[in-house]
Amino acid sequence: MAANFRKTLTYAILIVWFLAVVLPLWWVFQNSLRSSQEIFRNPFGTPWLFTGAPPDVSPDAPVQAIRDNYFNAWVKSQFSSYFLNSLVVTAASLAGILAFSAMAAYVIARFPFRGNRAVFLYFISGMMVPAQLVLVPLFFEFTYLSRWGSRLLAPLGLEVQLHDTITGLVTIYIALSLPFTILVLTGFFKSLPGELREAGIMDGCGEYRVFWHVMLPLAKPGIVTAAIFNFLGIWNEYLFALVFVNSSDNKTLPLGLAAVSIQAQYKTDFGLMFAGLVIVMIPTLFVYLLLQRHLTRGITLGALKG
Amino acid sequence: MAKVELKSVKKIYPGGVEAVKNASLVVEDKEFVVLVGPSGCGKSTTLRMIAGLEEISEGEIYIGDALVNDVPPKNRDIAMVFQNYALYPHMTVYKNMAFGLMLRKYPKKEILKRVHEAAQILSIEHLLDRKPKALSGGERQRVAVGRAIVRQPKVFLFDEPLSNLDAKLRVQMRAEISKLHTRLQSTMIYVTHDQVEAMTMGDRIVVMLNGEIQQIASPLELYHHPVNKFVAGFIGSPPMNLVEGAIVSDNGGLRFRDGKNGMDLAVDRAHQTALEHYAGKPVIFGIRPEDINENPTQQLVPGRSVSATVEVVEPMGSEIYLYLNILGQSVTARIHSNREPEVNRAYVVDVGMEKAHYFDPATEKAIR
Repeated sequence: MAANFRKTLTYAILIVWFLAVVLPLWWVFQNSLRSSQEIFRNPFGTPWLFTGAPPDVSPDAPVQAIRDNYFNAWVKSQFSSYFLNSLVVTAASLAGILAFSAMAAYVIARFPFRGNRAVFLYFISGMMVPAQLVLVPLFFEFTYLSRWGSRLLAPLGLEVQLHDTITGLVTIYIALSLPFTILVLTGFFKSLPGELREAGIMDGCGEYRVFWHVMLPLAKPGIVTAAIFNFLGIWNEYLFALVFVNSSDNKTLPLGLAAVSIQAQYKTDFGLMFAGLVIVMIPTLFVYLLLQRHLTRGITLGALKG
Repeated sequence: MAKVELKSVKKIYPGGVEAVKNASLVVEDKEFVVLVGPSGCGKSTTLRMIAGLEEISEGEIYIGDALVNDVPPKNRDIAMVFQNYALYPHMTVYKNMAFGLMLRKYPKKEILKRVHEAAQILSIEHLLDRKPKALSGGERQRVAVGRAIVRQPKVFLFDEPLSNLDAKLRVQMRAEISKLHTRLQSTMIYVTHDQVEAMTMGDRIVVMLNGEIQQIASPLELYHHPVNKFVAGFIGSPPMNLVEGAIVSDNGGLRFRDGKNGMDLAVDRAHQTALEHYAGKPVIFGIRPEDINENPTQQLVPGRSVSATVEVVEPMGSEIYLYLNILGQSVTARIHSNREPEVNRAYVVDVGMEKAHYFDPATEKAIR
């Protein structure tokens, strides 16, 4: 009886949770299939696409709405360009974050050099500083870095421009994500058996090959976890993008989305905005579905006697 | 194939702990040498220095004719089997075995051939597509050995490879590794804390204690002629009985007496010369359990037999272990008898004095 009750309660909570997550998503998706006119008539209604258009509007209206919303978002509101920018920024940031964090975490976890603890704490202390706090200093720092970097690299014909560039944004994202990612990955590398390194060395690896061929593949669950968290954070990041990117060519999706709702102060195209939201959400859902099975999998089982 | 030579090798850890003190050792080509000793004796450290996993603080190590002190492990042409196998969990058995060859850029065909040959020798061919977690302990151990033999290295190193297996499997793998040595005809250095493994597998055994090599000898030499009290007590099961007492001169002959005069035994002629200087001085008397036998008539023969009380009887089937009490002195005997002696009864045993060992109590060295 008690067990039954607990089971029912568990399922009830899970169902409520499920609805709380899925209903808003469904609502957004549904409204992306409707024109603003239709949304204003009944914000929570089923799209005419499914029910058929009412007699007072043209029968083409439902299909036209979808075409307008997605076409206008993708082409006229430049979501295609924002999407590409977001993709580049996220991919480059993730590559940088994972490469630097994995290497740093491996060395911190495995090599007891002098000052090891200090280096670790230095990285971790980054988590104690709220990101918003570094906004203004970073702005000036970027100005100096750009100036001095350009001077330094002038002989090579290179110019450093961190303001209003994708490079600048990627640099910020990498720096901001290092503390958390290093914390996660250090724990992971510490949990891997050290004998595997020695086995690798006896098999003919140098330290780099041990890292690439033995340790990194084993840290995959940790890397995937870190990748998903960082992906979500960076794909949706708004504040730093807003401050450091101004030109329309370099804007990312969150900025584009904001532009749609803010710029047209007197006439917001809600259909288009919802279509934009769907475009922003799809990659997130896709990445999560693709990688979630790695999140929970422990693959070091069987390395040692156990 | 190659010989391995250690010249006055030392390992001093930061903080001054000397894990290995002045180890010198020559392992001949194709020889199977076992390093044995209690935990913390420096045997594993010695092996790891040969492997290149530990730096050598002082001294020189040669593999073949090359000085390898500063040669990284991958260029030493050696393979090592670890105690906990250390298989790569993300690779199949095949890849685990092939990994070392792939790193050395062997042609694919050659790798395939070598892995299959090794798998055949170890009868693990049916496991090649599995991941380590799907294997039993014994199978993992075989894969770990296979990973070493595909490389066909100059020297094989084994670091307590059997201690994670159950007793039955251990005996089986012990024989298989010995067979492997005969088959591959390669130099092998094997570390264990188990003296039975050492005795059964090694061509020669290196006994270590507290970072120092105590004795290097063949198993039987070690058993019959231990150089000191530690080796005498460490090798053999049940261990040698060691009794403190003194040598006394008696009518031109020498006798050994323990403190309470429970044992009063005539020193055998073969030991007389060596013990002459010890007349009136303390010695440690050693006798192996199998050299103490039941006196058939149960009559006390002066100088040769001892009356004892039986405390525990352990029938092993082919023989009986007796735990005897000779006036407070515990002594183990290993007798072949059809009838079990009764517990808490007086029991007369003969001591094979020609097999006795004597050690100097101060230096603990054998008196010869």
